[in-house]
Amino acid sequence: MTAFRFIHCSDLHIDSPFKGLASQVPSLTERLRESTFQAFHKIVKLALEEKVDAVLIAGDIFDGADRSLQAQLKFRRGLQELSQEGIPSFIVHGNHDPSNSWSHTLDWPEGTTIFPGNKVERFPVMRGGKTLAWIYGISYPQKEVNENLALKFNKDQTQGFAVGLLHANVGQQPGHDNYAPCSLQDLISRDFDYWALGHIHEFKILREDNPCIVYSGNSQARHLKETGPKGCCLVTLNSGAPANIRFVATDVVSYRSAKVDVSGNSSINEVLLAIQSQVEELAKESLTHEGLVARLVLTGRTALHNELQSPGTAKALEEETNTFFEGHSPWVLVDLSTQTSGTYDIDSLKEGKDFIADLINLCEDDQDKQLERKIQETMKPVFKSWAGRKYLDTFSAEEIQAVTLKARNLALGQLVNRENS
Amino acid sequence: MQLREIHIDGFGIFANKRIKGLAPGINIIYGKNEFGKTTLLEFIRRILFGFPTKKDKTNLYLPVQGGSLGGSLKVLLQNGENLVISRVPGTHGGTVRISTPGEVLQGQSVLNHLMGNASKDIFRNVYAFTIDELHDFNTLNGDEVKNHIYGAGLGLGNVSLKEIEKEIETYCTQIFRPRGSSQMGELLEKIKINEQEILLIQKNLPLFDELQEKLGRMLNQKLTVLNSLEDRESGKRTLETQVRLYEDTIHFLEAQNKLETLADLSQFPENGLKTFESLKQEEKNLALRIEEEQSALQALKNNRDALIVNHDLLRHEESIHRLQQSTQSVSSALKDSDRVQNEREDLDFHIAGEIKSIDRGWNEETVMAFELTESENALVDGFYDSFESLRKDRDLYQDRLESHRRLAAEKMSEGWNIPNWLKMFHYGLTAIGVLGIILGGYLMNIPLLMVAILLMAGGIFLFKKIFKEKNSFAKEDLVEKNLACQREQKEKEWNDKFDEWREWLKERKLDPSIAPITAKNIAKTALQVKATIAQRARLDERIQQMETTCQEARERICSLEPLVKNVSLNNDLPANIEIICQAFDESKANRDRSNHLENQYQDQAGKLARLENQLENISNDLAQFIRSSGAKDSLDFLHKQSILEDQNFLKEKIAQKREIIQSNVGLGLHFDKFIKAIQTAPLEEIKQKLSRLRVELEELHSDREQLLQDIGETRNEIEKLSSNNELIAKQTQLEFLKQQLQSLAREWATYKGALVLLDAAKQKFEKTRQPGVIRSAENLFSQITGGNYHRIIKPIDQDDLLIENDRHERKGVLEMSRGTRQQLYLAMRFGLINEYETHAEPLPAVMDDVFVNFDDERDERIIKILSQFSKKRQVIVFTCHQRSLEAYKNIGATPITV
Repeated sequence: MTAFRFIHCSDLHIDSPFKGLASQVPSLTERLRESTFQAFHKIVKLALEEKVDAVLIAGDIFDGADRSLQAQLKFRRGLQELSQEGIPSFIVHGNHDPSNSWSHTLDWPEGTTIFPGNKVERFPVMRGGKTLAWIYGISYPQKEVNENLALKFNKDQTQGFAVGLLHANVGQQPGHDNYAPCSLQDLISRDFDYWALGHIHEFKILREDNPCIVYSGNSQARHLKETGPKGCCLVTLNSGAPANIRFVATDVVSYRSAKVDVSGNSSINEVLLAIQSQVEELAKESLTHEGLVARLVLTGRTALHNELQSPGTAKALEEETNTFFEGHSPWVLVDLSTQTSGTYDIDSLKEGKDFIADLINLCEDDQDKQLERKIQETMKPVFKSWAGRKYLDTFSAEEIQAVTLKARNLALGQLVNRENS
Repeated sequence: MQLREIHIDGFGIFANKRIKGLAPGINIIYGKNEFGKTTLLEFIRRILFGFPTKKDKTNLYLPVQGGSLGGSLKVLLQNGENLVISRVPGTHGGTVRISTPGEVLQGQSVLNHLMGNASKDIFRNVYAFTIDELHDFNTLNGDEVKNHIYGAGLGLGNVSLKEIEKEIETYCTQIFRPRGSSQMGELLEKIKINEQEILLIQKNLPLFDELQEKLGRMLNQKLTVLNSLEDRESGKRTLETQVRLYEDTIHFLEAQNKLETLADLSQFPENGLKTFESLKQEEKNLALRIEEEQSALQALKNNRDALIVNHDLLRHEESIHRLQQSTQSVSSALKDSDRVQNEREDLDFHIAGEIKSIDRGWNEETVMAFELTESENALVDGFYDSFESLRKDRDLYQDRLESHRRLAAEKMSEGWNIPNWLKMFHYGLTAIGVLGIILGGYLMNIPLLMVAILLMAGGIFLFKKIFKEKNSFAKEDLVEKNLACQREQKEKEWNDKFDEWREWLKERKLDPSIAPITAKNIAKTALQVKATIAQRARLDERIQQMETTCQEARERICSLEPLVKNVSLNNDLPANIEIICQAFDESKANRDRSNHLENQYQDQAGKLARLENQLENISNDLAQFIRSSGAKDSLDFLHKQSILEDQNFLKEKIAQKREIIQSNVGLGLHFDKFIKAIQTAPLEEIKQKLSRLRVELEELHSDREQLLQDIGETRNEIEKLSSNNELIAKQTQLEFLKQQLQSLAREWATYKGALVLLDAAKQKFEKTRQPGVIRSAENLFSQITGGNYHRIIKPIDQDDLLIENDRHERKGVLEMSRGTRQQLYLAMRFGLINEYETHAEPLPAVMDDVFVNFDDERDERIIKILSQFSKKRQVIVFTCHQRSLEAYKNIGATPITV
């Protein structure tokens, strides 16, 4: 029984920065930056330890838009290690690293195969003079590839396993650009043994066997929205036996979000303690990682609302927490925001005949969204005409609602709290 | 709070003023114009809220009638507490003391608390106002007042909506401003800088490719350059060898060519030249010697022929000997001849002179004939003695006579012998005359005058007469006469003797005028002349002898003269003699030398003949040798010999050059190729080629250096790019910044949203709920205007007040009459006070007589309203109108007179 053991990975995004973090701890910034490369390095180490027959990388090795030479050099360093041990590597370009974004003068180590972008090619994986498998693949020549590349794959060799290496959106998965779109059936129809897919940043086995159709997911999350474990697949294809697909986590930084209810807290110090205990909990769950990025949202009705709202308080709490966890293993980086409200009783307030009642009722009676429109109107100087608007995400309907609510809470906080004081 | 007493220590015109009897309700303080109501109003304001400082540029109301600035108010609080509030000037409005029955408190904050935290603005503008301030809407426009107008009605208690809005607006501007600095603006700047930096780093990727390609190209170039460098180096070496050996090669080739053109001389003897040259040398030496000997022979002959021998002269040997012997005598004769001749002439001259000194008529014969005997000499001496004695006598008499005459003359010089009386007479006469004239003139007596003139004239005449005849007074001299007679006598005797002397002289034929002594001298001279003549005769004899000697010599010279050159009869004798003797000696020597030369000449001629014989032999030997070598003659022999030498030289040179060239370029083909290269290219061309090659080489070398440097630099750059880890750092930073911007934008949106909400709520409120202030004022205003206007509207966004009548017509402040406006403002103030005091300590309302502009109807109504108003608080009104006083009294006001 012959077996073909290889590592399937994709979307390494080496040296691509982390997104969505508004705070930074200088001592952690470098570690955060290095995490994508470290994740790739873990893959290389795994390949060496497991003495695999090949390493398959299904595109998006780095972000072409970054035009990072360093990323390519780091990648090559990894390939060199594989090459030195005689492990061949097979690579296709994805939408983030199409052929034209790669350095054309960089010389790749022996045993590295980069598939061309004009047509599907195949290359063999040899062992003991015998062809163990044929790797078929095609690269993205440019960023946007809208044709169904899967249909271009034709198995024309009967000896050895047939493995397809493709960067594509299979079955129009949401949240990802619909490049090289194809259906599961398209892939099944090719009569391959394994489809090593890239593009979706989540480990997904679309089909268990005959053929195996697998997204390895990205090797390291780079965004708070990218939750779940990140890593690569250690695959063993057996002739006459089902394939063995093992997911191996490679991410070094864990991204976690959590809410911290501070309604029971009567002082900032208590709030701080609540935050710390929440972080500790998350850190416990991330023990296998080198670091933890925790996004925390403070919620609940609290007398501290106004204080928490005032500019700088959240920042101070965040810094305090980060300082508290300095030297912690895994290292911790906290990103804090607030969604608290005051302790006033909205229901009784809106029954009054005063300005506050008018204010609450205005918000609640805004069925035709007039108020929201007005708010959007006032936001125009920033979101429509300001020079920096291109860096800002536009508001979704939910966000507008959230802002309106936050604005109401803010106004109420000011009016009610002052009255009380 | 109600005022009970006002005590002024000093304030403006007031000093130590106490106003008592202030009661709850309306108090009417009455006083005439300028009694100080405004001062009083200001005093109350300042005691409650502080004194201004000079900086405030307002009337400080410094006391003008003494007393220190300050005073106190006695008040009653709503809770029934009595207080005394006193204030003295100082910092921060002065020092305020609040004395309660139990304690004394201090500080504005305590007072403020007691006054329900009413602000200065509220009190000044709402509670206490003058008639002028009532007119002014702006007094109601202060933030504090305005906020109270609305805030009090918003149901927000102390909360100022404006303040909240302002605060939120401040946050908004801090976060974002379209222009000017803001947090988002700063972030955007940072982002832009960051992006620029990223763009710059991102260029590293294409740059890396570019550099890699460049490196590849340069490595290829390097190879090409190295190859061409090698080619050119070898070319350069070849050309350098060509240049170095060019001269040698050319010599080599020339020698070869020349050797080929030379004739074949294999018959010619190997060392023939040596033999030829020795014979030739011998022949030449001989010829030279013969030439020398011949010239010696010729010289001998010439010398011999050049010798002149005067044979004729030699024949007169005896005569020449004689002449030689006479040389001494002739020369001495010639030498003495002149001297002797001169001597004789001197003697001649001397003789003639001596004779002439005796007498001009004398000559040598006369002298020879003249002779004085001894007797004659004695006679002459006798004459001499007589003359001497006679002359002495005559001179004696003469002397006596002269001395006598001198004495007589001396006597004459003493003066005239005019008698004194005569003198006195003519002086007296004259004096009387003068006196008479004076007297006569004085007396004017003509007769007297005339007499006097006559007397004076007589005196003068007498004086003249005496002076004229003064000599007639001298005496006759007899001595003189006697002496003159004696001298005459002696004179005559001397003359006689002299005549006798002359007679003697005539006899002797001598000059009769000579003295006896002279005659003796002439005799002596004549004797001397005779001796001199004898001497001259001896000299004449000697001269004769010398002339004879010379004549003889002269005759001999004459006979020899034709035989000797240079002899001239004009020459003096000794010279001629010497010349002749010399000529004779010379001829004699020449004759001996000539004989000697002739012998030498004969010997030389013999020697020469022998040498010529030898020469002929050698010439024959030489001719034979030349013929044996195959040459036609000696010239041909030499020509052939030189050809032979050339051949040998050329062969040697060729061998030498060949060796040099071959040692440099090698043998065989290399050598031939080299020779051919030199033959085909001139040196200049080779040199040009070489210099071109050198330039090329230099360029290539510098190209290579440059290339190596460039390669190094490029490698460094690639290395630098490869190790540049900044991109990810910058990108991470950018992501942070973007996220921060995102957060800020959302924060800003929240604040902005809050403002929108507040504004919307405000509008709603304005529409549906008028503030309590307005409503309260509206009520009062309606009452004052008798229902003409029943609504007051305060647009929420405008600092204006509108009034509305029954017909819903609205009027703005500017459209209202002065009275209506004042009434509106009064109503607004009362409304405000009503609203304000719903949650604060009532304060006394202190106002001017504000009703002066109101018509009677409204006046009445206002008094009524005031009456109502004063039920809840104390009202103090100042007036200077009796009418007003009465009207207030009618409604139960407490009158107070200042």
